[in-house]
Amino acid sequence: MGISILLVYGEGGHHDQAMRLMKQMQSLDPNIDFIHVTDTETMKGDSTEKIYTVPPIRHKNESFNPLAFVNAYLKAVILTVKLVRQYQPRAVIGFGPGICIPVFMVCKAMRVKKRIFFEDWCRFTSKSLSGKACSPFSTKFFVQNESLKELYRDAEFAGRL
Amino acid sequence: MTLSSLDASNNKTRILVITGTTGFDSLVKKIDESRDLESRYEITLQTGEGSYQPQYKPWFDFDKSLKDKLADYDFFITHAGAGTIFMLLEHKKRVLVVPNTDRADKHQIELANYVKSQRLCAVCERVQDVEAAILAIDANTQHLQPYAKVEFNAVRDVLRYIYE
Repeated sequence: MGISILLVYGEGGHHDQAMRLMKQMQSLDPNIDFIHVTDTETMKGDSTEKIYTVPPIRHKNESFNPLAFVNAYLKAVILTVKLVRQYQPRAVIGFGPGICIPVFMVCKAMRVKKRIFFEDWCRFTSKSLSGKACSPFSTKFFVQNESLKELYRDAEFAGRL
Repeated sequence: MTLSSLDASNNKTRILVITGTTGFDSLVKKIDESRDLESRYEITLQTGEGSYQPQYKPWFDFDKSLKDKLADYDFFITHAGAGTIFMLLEHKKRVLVVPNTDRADKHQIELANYVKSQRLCAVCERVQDVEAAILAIDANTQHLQPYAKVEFNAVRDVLRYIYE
């Protein structure tokens, strides 16, 4: 078994982007052990072995609920602490949504040295909540639309997944 | 309406409506209840987690292998979800985008504006105008630009970076 990498993503497009990157990485290095952290049950049908689910930080169709937020946040923190201890990941890669925020914070505190965030490919002229919040905790930050480089000064653009 | 348009369904224009994981009730309901479309179009609805259940048109909630069935349709109507739009454009499909403004987050407009300005898809901004947009879908998706994607080219760099 090679190194472990935490892969953090939500449903729909977040999941698609994570899978595209993972496949590209696996084709170059089949030994990487990917640990999936996601906030949706939809993916349970996938054949991925190590998949951990936390409640979503914010439901798409609902406004902000502080209690649900704190609950989701704490659960994500506890899970991340457990996963970092268990797998000693070399890196964490996040795609959004909000679930990435506590995961990245904990990864930074627990000295997971490489913290890579991909801003969503649907962003052209505005930052996502998770992109905004994760950028201070990231060591490498990719945008997938060139127009966003104006908003994220330290971001890299290397095409779209 | 002419008699010829009442022919067997295999002569009808086949359209798939895609609303992603979240669903898009107002769009699905609007299209489902547009009965006049049925003489010319065979429309299938993908409803996701939406709560409206179509009454008049064939539908399904999820299909993980949608990508393999794109050849069964002539046109696609989709919410402005990037995953769906980019996937359809990569397969060179003709697409009408209706941004989902039912959602709490409003960023679907951003992508709709982008594909409109780049002339990659036809765009219908308001659900109430979708029937007219479907009637003109052929003309409106005829002269679109091909999708020139800059493929992500930093996988090696990312791996090197992680290992260093």
